[in-house]
Order: sequence, then structure tokens, then C-alpha cells
Amino acid sequence: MRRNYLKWLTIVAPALFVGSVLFGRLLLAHSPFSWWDEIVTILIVVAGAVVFSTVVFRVIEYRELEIKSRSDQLAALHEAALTLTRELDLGIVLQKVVDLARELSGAKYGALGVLDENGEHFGQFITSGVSSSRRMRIGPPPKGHGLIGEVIHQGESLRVSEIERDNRFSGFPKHHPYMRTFIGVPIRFKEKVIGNLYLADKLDAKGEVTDFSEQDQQLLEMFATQAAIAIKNAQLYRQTQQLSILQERERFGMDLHDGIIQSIYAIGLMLEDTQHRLEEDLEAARQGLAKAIQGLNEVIRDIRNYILDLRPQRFQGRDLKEGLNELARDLRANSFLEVNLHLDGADSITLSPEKTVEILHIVQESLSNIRKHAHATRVDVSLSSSDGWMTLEISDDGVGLTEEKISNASGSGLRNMRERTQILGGRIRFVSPEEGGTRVVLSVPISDLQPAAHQTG
Amino acid sequence: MGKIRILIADSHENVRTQLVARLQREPEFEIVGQAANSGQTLHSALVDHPDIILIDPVMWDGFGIANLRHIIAQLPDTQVVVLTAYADTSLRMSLRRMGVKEILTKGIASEELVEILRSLGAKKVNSSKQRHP
Repeated sequence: MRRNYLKWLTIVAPALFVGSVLFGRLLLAHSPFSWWDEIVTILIVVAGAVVFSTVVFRVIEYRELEIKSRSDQLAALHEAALTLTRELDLGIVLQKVVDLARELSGAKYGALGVLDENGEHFGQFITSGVSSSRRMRIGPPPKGHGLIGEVIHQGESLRVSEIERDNRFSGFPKHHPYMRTFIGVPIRFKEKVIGNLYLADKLDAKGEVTDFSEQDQQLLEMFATQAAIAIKNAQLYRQTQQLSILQERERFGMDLHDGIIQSIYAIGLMLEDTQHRLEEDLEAARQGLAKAIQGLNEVIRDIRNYILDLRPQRFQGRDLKEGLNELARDLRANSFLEVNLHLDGADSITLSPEKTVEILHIVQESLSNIRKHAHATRVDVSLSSSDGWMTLEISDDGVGLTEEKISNASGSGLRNMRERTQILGGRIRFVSPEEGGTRVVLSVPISDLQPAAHQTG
Repeated sequence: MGKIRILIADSHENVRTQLVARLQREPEFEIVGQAANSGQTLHSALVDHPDIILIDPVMWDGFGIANLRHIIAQLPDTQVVVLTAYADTSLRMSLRRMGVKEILTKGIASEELVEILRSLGAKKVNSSKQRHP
């Protein structure tokens, strides 16, 4: 509207001016003193020019101040955005968001409510301008009633100049500071509202409470966009930190298996200590031994669970090649064995997930036996297939299995393997040649999924 | 000639307490701190100024290894001995790249552990003697 006013002014004013000059001349045409003509004309011209330029310049000045104020605000907004992006810690980001919003709008009080997944309740409610002791006295965060709730439900900015007079107001909780003016701005990330900024009691240059302006709202809405990005960043960063914990645990087998080694090592140290105490304190030594025995019993229980359980999830989602590679890796990590895999035949073999899991369990059992009993230096695992059968061979250069061991299948290990082979509908052989070493040969029927070989015509 | 100051950092409580008890029996060692997680390890390393950090870097909080890298960078004069249950080659390689010279596996004879710590401690004393003739 100001622009139109200026435009009309520049048209009307000169017209008025020329009109009044002519009118003046007309008046003076009837005067007896002719040199009055010139003086009056000049006076009118000057007066007109002064009035005109004053008005115009005042308008220009006002506009300039507006522009400067806008530019200052944008600079402040830019500064705020930079400050925010430097932070990755979620707690710090949230506090900064509400502190900066308060600064930008000149408000006495500020709050940031971060919505939980449902988008209905506040997961977090951070304040600025209220001392922490006051905050504690006020108590739990708002539940989404009144004006605060209004912003949540409408998903739009809301400006109120008399909080208590507004019919949506639902009352201040006890110890809550009195507030008159209010603005609420939703923080949106990719169309979804993740939280709301609430500011109250904007202070003017004299320190008096005043209304939040249209400009304040626009500024806060722009800031809210920046805040959304910073908050999302911090939330994602926090998630990746937690993910790295899981990865490290998984990677280094922070599971039962690792725990067993740790427990046994600790018991070993305890027994050493007991040995030492035999000289000085018999009673303490006795207690130490009791503790060690108890510890060992716990370890036995853990191991038994581990065998029975064999981490049923362990081989899920792995194909045969991946599973064999992992077993080989484990064996290398836990022994001084040279482990060689010959899996060129693996790619053409398609097995159901259930069969894959069973086969991997058998291989694991076999490798475990080799590690514990064979006293071998090297293990070879090879895979081949023909005529609808897959053959897996595990051979080592150790002491070999005696006839007795094979036929009696003593030890749950060999028995386990036989049982699983039966489930697969396959065959298993344990061979110990004269030269030494052992060969386990497992044959499993697989579906032939290569129709090309049988096509006719 | 002062005692060799050692910080013991291990997430597994039994192992940690047993190590403390065992090493405390050696007169030349002084256990200046115990740490159960990365935060405690870092704090003790910076505050207690141990000569040697005996650590299993695979920690329950998942930051053990990154934290160790940080400690090695911040405290180049502190010696680090890794004592771990897991003998994985890739872990070994990462640790060596970080500058860890001693990587031991749990199951090591205690005498050997004590000997290694003792000789590392002596190195420290000698190098500081050289600096202050």
C-alpha cells in the first residue's frame, strides 16, 4: 500500500503544485503591484518543492530503515543457522534452537516441544528464560492442551496478543510465569511436524511487553526450517552412534562365545591367586577354590547351552558360500590351523535355506572336532556337485579317527553330524587313510535347477 | 626410582578384578586406576597419568577401539598393552596400525604378562632418565 501511495504522490503533487502556481498567477493578475507576481510565484515554488521532497524523503527513509531491519534480522537468522549446524549433540542442538529463537524474536520466554513418533505428545520439552528451579516447581511438561495444543492440532503458526482473553486458553499451571503475548510456530521436516516453538512476551526497546509482529512470525518460520534440519541431523547422528555399538559387538563376537573365554581366563587368574594364598591364608585359599569351582560349573552350563543352542540365528540369511567363509574365518581366529576353502563349485548349487543351515552346522561340528582333537596343521574344505548330489569334503592332516571312534560314534559330535545328515536325506562317511589324517565326506541331494541340460528339441 | 603406574581397563568385571589382584602383588607395580568402559578409561588415562594402560579394547559400550585411538593420539608417552580374548587378525591389524606394540591374548601365563609389563616399565624409566641427565 505504501508503494501505491508514493506513486500517486509523485503524480498528484506536481499537478497540484502547477495548479496552485497557475491559480496564484490568476489571482495576482488582478493585483495592482506587478512585481508581487514574481515573489509569490517563487515562494509557492519553493514551498511546494520543500513539502514534496520532505514527504518523499521521509517515505524513503522509512523504507530504508525497514530494509535495514530486515537485513539485520536475516543476518541474525543466518548466524543462528550457522551456530546450529556446528552442533551434532542432540541435547545441545535442542537447547540452542530455543535460545536462538528467543533472541531472534526478542522474547522473554521460549520453549521447544519435540513430538514423539505418534506426533501427539511431547517426548521432550525444553525451555529458555525460566530458571531450572522454577522449571522444577512447575513440574511435568504440558500435555497438549490450550494454546500449545492448538498449534499441535492445527499445524499452523499462531499469534495471540492477550493469552488470558483467548478462548482457546486453558490456564497456566501452578508456578508458571504470567504471560501476555504469544506465538507458536511448527517445526516441519519434509512435510512432517517434528516439534513446535513457543515464544512469549516479546519485549520492545523499552523493555515493555509487546505483540509479536508478522515479521517475527516470518522470521521464526524461516528459523524453524533451519532448526528442523539441525534437529534431524542430531537425531540421526545419535542413531548412528547406537548402531556403531551394535556393529562393534557383532563384529567382535561380544556374545556367549567370547564370554566363555573371558570367564575361564578369570578363573585361571583366581586359581593362581589361590595357589599363592595357600602359604599365608588357608581359609582364603579354600574360599578361592570354592569360587573357582562354582565359576567352572557356570561355564559348563554356558557351554552346554551353547552346543544345544548353537545360536540358531547364526546361520540365518547366509548362503552356503558365505557360511563356509565365516566358519573358516572363525577357525583361523581361534587356532593356528591353516584353513583352505575350495568353493568354485558353490555357485551352481542352489539349496533351500533350511538345508543350508543344517549343512553349516555339520561343517561347524567337524571343524570343531578337528580343532580340539586332531592336532592337525591344516584343513581343506571343498565343494562339488554332480547328478543332483552335492558333495562336501573336509580333510585334515591330524592324528586321524580310529575305527572304534567311527563305528561307536562315541562323543555327541559324530552322532550330531549323523543325525543332521539323516534330516537332510544325505550320506556321511568318515575316512582315515593309512597315511594319516581324516576325511569327512558329506553328500546331500539337491534339486537340479538347470533345465538347459535336459531340454529337447 | 618410582613404581610402574598401571591403568587396567576391561569391560569384564571378573577379569578386571582378578588382574588388579594379580598385578598388585608385584611390588614394582602400582595400579593407579580401574576402568570398565570407554569413558572411565579416557578419564583415568588423562587424570591418573599411568605409565602403562593394560586394556581389552573390545568394550561393551562399543567405543573401546575408537577411544583407544584417541588416547594414543592424546598421550603419546603412555604405553599401551592390549590383552584381549579375541585373536582376530583384522583386529590385530587395526591395533598395530594405531600404534599398539603389544597385543596379548587372554590365556597368557601371568608370569609372562608381568614380565612384559616390567620390561615396558623399565623402558619408560630409562627414557625419562635420558631426558633428565
